[in-house]
Amino acid sequence: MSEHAEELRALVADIAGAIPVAERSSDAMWQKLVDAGLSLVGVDEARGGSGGTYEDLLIVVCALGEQAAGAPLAENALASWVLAGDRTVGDQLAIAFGVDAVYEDEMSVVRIPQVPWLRQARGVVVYDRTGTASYVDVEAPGVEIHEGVNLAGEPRDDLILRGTAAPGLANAPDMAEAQARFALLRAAAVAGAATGVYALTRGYVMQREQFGKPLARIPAVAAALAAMRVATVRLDASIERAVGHLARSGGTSPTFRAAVVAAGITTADTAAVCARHAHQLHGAMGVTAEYPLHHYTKRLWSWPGEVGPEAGSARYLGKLALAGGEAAVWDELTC
Amino acid sequence: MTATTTPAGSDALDLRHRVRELTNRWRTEGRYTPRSDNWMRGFDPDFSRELAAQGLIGITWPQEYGGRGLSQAARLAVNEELLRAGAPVAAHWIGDRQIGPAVLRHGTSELKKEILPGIAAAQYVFCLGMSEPEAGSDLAAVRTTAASVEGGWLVNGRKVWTTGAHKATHTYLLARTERTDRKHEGLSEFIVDMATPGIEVTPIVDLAGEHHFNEMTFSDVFVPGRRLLGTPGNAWRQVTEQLSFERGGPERFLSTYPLFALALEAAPKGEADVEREIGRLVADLATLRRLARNVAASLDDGAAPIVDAATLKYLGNAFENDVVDFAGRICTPERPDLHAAWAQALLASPGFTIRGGAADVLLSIIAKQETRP
Repeated sequence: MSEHAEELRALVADIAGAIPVAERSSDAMWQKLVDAGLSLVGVDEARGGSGGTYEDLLIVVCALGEQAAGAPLAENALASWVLAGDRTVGDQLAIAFGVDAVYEDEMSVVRIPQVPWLRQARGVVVYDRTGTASYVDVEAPGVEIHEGVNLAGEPRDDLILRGTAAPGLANAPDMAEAQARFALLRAAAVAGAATGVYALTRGYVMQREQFGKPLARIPAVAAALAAMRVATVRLDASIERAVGHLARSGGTSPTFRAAVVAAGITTADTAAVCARHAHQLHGAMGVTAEYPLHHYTKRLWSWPGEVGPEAGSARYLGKLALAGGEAAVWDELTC
Repeated sequence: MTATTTPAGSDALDLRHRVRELTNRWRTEGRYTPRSDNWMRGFDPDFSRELAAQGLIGITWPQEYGGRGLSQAARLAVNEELLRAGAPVAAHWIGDRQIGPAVLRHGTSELKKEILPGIAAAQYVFCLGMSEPEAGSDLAAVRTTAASVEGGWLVNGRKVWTTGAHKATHTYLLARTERTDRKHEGLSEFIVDMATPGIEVTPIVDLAGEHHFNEMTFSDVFVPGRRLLGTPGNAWRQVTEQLSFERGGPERFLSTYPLFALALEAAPKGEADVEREIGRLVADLATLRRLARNVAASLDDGAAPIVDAATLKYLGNAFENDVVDFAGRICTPERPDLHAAWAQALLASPGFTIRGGAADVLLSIIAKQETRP
């Protein structure tokens, strides 16, 4: 892992700790992250970024998830990383993958659904269906933004382009790589939220007494808590594995993409297990607006499904396994 | 993280190739047939001795005791390949996995010299005298006694579910050396020759009709003093360490890999449900292999990865059973070989989530670790 891991985690925890959990997706939170230089981690300093590596960015995003913070940091940093090959970068960027795009009126109208934090962006890095990257200025003629939110109340806005002219990004990385990197960032955010919700739940069942003893002493409660821990250990391992493939084989390698897809499957499972058990173990306390649990669980319910059609797709991995046979399974898809 | 570029990584790759060459040759010559759960059911001293001749048993142990001083990561590479090939490794598995490490940690240098080279050479075959009729998941409830006598100990009691006792040259033995109010105290560990007078082994046939389990009866069995392992009365601490070694290995998720390989080859192409199921299995296997690497790395760092090892076993056993379920769903009359492999694995499968700590016990171990005040 990154040599700055502890430092970065502590920095995020400090920033988030000063802001109430209900407001960790606010503009104030975002501004503090920008001021700390975290919004451009993993982007070359010479191109306007903060330096550091993609692994550093994963750590920051995971740490934010652990604080139930839903800032557009992953989106901003990744869009900037894509853009950096063609121009210097700044803050408030969104990223959209046009694989979900709907084309109307003989292709002149493009609708890309649920772009994270689009309403706050000055510009969007858009990969169209063919994988061509371009930069869309939100002030450009023909750009429409239709606001929407996910379960956690985080902006997920539809982007509509009506004949909008957008300069192409000749030096942008392949869409597959950008998508895989984005999916892994989302997995890291979920891993963080799962760790955070586990800590909250563990604290609760150790402190809350019923039947004359802490809940954690009831075997069924202990088993459910352990199942949450199993789920977080599992997700952490699958993310570490994908990071290992990135370091070893590079972002364009098929093994990295397959590892991210595998991590995506685990992400969905871990999010579901942790949200379910966390609520069950908190009892009625956990369903109040005041108690912080729902800031975690709404994100665990929202985030895994938002990472594009490839990640989370067991079919994709299954097809690779069937095509490559046992040797590919052993030496490429599970190593 | 970038294991393949380090010297240890290339060593591991070289070890993998050597194991592949060996298992391929034996399989091609018809000297073994891959099958599920062969690390417990596939007993072939000749195969184990060939591995030993190539220096592939006890490889993490110091050279003076017959080992090669390699890392746990290297050992994982060897064992993964053996399990992948469904090779018959039961004759040396227990000695290599847990008796050797336990002797290394707690044995006197005399005991190390006496026992370890024999395991590394696949001359000594170990079974585990742990469980008893009244001590299953509650291992500390053992009643077998070892009374201090002139020059050693006198053992009386009964052990049960002892895999391979009828073929073993030695048994590890957990016995009570002291009566105390607290059952976790007063236990001690011994290494016992199976040829010692007073040991009687009777078979327990399993539901597959196979004989692997046994009951062992000890009637005034004399064990020389030098065969005490570690400190008298300290066995509980020692044995829980030993079990964390036992738990975190790749045999906890690869028992049904030979069936998985066959099912993958026999699976119908172009069916969405089948593709999805295989994809999920592949994702799970990938994570499990990573977890095994993490456990090995922790052991190499001198840590005791109790939670990771228990997690690995818990998830790994579930994966083994998922493989059996999947293979069952795609069985067709055109593939009697798949059906046979599925049936064999299914009959072995109830043991997966029991041996080495039942699934529910694993969760309680994790919870206990995690809720320490």
